[in-house]
Amino acid sequence: MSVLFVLFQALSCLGWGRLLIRSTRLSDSLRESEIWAWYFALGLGILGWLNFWLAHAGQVSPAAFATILALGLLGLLTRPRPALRFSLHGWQWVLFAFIATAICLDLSEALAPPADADTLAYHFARVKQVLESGQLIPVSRAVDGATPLLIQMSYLSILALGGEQALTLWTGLSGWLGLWPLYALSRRWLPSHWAAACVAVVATVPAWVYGAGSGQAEARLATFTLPALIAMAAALQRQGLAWSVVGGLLVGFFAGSKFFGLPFAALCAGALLIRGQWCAAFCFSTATAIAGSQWYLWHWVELGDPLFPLLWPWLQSLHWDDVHAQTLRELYFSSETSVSTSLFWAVAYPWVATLAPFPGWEASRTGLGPFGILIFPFAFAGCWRFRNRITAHPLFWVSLLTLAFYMLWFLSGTSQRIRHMLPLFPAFVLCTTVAAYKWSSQRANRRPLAAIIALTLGIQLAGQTLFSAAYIEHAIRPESREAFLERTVINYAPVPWINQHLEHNSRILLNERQLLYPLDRPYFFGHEYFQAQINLLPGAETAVNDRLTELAQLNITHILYESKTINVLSRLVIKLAENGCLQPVMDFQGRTFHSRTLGLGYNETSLSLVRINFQCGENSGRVTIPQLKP
Amino acid sequence: MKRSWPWIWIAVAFLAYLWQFTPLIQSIITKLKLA
Repeated sequence: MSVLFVLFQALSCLGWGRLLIRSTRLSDSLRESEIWAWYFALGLGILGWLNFWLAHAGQVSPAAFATILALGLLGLLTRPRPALRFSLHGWQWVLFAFIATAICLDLSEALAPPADADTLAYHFARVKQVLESGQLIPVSRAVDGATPLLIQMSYLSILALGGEQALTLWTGLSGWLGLWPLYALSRRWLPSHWAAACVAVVATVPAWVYGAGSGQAEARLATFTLPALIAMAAALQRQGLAWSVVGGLLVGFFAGSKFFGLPFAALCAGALLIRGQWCAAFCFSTATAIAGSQWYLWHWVELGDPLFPLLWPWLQSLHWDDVHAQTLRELYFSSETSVSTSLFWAVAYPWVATLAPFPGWEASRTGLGPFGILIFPFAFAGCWRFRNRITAHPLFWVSLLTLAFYMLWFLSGTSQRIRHMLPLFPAFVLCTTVAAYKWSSQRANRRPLAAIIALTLGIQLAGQTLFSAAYIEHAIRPESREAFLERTVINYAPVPWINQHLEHNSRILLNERQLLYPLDRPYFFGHEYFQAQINLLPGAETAVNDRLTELAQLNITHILYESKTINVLSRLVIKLAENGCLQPVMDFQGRTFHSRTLGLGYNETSLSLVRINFQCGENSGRVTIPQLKP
Repeated sequence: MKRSWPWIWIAVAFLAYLWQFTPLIQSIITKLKLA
């Protein structure tokens, strides 16, 4: 049944995309071989957009979502329907074997319960929260709370209709369908086996393997970015205003899914303005605003800051303050930037991130593989050889916008984790492969390029097999959902007991973000400095009465914390216990893993669940905020 | 040299990429030995 719901949603996406393309009268400008990829890219965005408004209106019943999906199917009923062609010959069979292996490995992940920390912390947790509460709930938490969630809204309908199994199957399928535009658009400049090679390279790159099968947004954002860049290239080459509208919608879907979409939108609009295409820039900006502004406006209304909490100095949000703003700046942003944001490092970053990355970049585990450096000299040689004609090529604009976005991203001083570049990676692979292919065609020698593809796929597929080991084990041996989560999710042990025994009106304060999705009871994620609703900064715990007031305002009844380590919650618990404000409820033995991928064992941890007694706290002192070190 | 530079580049760049995984490979070997 889950499979049917997933197919229902995929077909609905195609239908919505087809309705939109027909309304813009672009059908005649698009090649038959690529038109279905455009349908899917646009349809996925439209589904996320529509589901936002349903959730905003409090209409989160399965019937409401089924209606939206069924309306999308109407788009497939109209005639003439373009043919969907797929054929294999020659070397494509070898590539198909690589791709089929990668699909099987991804399928093992799609069949298992979700276990990725970010997915459990908010990609799936927020979706589950919307369905349980019947409405969108603003979360005044920096970084992963008040963030645009257009992609995650496409999870709403599938979770409501088919449950968790359908949701994980959908993330698996949508990750692969995200590569459809890459294959289809590559065919403009590459033979089918080289287009398939591009797909295989991207599908097995560590960042894609890590993100596409889980609930992470980046891989699915690639569904929007490559068609958006192609549409922008057409708009910049003055091929019609419809391209500006379609490009604007796709860029808007990107912006509605991730903050990084905003600078991308600014770059595209800037390119149109620089070329004096005022009307195209207006059409583009309007389409972008319609497709992507809803999350920012909603956060502005609910939290007082469209980019919560980044505009704190100018917009005074109720849920933020100077001390937390300063702490976030000093502790979070400094930890996310391993090197200075200079021009030197902007040039050096791709090389260092590929060959000897800093741990903060997470480039070994979730990097972009060796393809970039292997193909670089060949792509450069291709560009140099055809330098006189390069500016007339549509991929010139695609490359330029991709490069400009990379420079803007790096020099803006934001998080330097390499996976943030994943949405633009298919565009990079396409541009470099086409340039290198041109070079090899001129020399009539494609063996070096074939060797690059073979080496890249070999090492990446080995890495993917290693990554999928836990999921394969789950697929081939009888194992319950609880047993799988116990051996893959850090400190999962308290969850089954809490879900079974705690009253439904309880609310738990915890700072184990990976437990948010599995918990069936209300919770509050008590991060030290991402949120300011409970002051958990060092020293704040001494003002017990103030903390009790904050806990009471948020209806928190219990605290789950690691009891044998000094951390953000144990400091507060110690003070509350000293004032007689706690009653022990249950102790648990948890686990933290050295490496789940390699199965290198685990450390045991101790967790405790305590109940808060609000009739206490007379001995509390005043709140003291420590002086932050520069 | 002029004709073989692509192969030299591919070999050097790929080995340089693999070098960072030395600790990972060592830990896998250790695990296999323990097993």
